[in-house]
Amino acid sequence: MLQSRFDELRERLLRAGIAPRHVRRYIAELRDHFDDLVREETANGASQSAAEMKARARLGSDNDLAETMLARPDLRSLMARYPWAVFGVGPVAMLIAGLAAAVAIEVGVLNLISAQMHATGWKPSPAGLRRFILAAEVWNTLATYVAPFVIAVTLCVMGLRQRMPAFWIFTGIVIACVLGGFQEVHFSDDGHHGELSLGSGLLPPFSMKMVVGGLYRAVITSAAAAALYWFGLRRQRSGNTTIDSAATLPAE
Amino acid sequence: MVNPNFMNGVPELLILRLLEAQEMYGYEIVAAIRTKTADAISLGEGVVYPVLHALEREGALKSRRKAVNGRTRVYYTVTRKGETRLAGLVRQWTHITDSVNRAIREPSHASVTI
Repeated sequence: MLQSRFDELRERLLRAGIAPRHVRRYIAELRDHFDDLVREETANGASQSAAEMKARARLGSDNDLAETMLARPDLRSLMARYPWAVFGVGPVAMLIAGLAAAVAIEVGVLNLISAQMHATGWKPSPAGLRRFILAAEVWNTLATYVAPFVIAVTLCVMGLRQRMPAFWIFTGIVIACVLGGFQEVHFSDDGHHGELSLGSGLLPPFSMKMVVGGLYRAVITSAAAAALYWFGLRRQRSGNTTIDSAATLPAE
Repeated sequence: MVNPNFMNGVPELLILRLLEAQEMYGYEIVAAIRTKTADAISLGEGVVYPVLHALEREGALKSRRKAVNGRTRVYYTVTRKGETRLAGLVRQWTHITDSVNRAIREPSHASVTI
C-alpha cells in the first residue's frame, strides 16, 4: 500500500498542476526518506511492520504532504497555469515554426544548388532533376503530414503526463491536425524555373482539391493522435490499478 | 504542538542555517532540525521537500546528485542568494523574538481610570 499511497499522492499533485519534474523528484525523495526512517526504526529495535508504520507516521499524512506542495504555486507547471496558451496558441506557434524551419531548409538547399550551378555551369540531367523534385516533395510531405502529427503527439504526451483534462488535450490535437492538415507546401521545376509555393485550404480561394486533401489529412492525423491518446490513457490507468492493488504497508 | 501561523518562514530559516554549514540531503536535514531544536519543532518529515524545491527554484539553494553506499542522494547547499536570504530571515526572526520577549518580560503598567 506504500507504493499505492505514493501513487495516490503523485496523482493528486499532478492533477492539481504541480510540474511532473517536481512530482517525480518529490516522490523519489519521499521513498528514500521512508527507507531511511525504516532503517532507523529497525535499528532501534522495532519490527519491520512496526518500523514501516512509524516511518509512515513520521513522514506525514498524505494530506500534509500534498498541502505543503500545493501551497507553493511556483511549483505548478506552465501547462496547468496557462492551458489555453499551451493547447490553444502552442500548436499554432509550433506549426508556424515547423513550417518556417522546413521551408527555410528547403530554400537554403535550393539556393546552394542554384549558386553551384551558376558558379560551375553545371546542369542536372532530366533524371537527376526528377529525383531532386521527388526529394523536395518527400520533404514537403513530411512538413505537411508528419509535422502536425508530431506536434499533436507531443501535446498529447505532455497533457497526459500532467493529467490534463481531455478537453485541453483534444483542443491541441484538433488545432494542430486541422491547421496542419490544410497547409500546403509544393515545389515544382520545369528545368528552367523552380517554384516553391505555400498555401492553406482554409484560406481563399477555396479549391475543392485543397479542401478535400486538407480534410483527409486532418482526419487521418487526428484519428492517429486520438488513438495514441487513448492508448496512453489506458496504459496510465492500468498502471495505477496494478500498483493500487499491491498492499505492503499498513494504513495510518 | 506549534501553532502553524508562527511557523511561517521558520522551516526556510532552519534549512538555510543548516545548509550554510554543510551540504545535506533531506533525511539529514530533518534529523539535524530535530537535534538542534531538541524536538521542539515537530513537522511531518516529508514536508521539508517542498520547502527545499521552492528554495532551489528561487535560487537560494542548489542541488546535486551524489551516490552514497549504492544509493543516489540529492544533496542541497546554499548559494550566495541563499546567504542573503538567510541574513534577512535571521534579522526578521531576531526582531520578532526580541519584541515578544520584551513584551512578556516587562511588567504591565496599564491602568484603568474610571
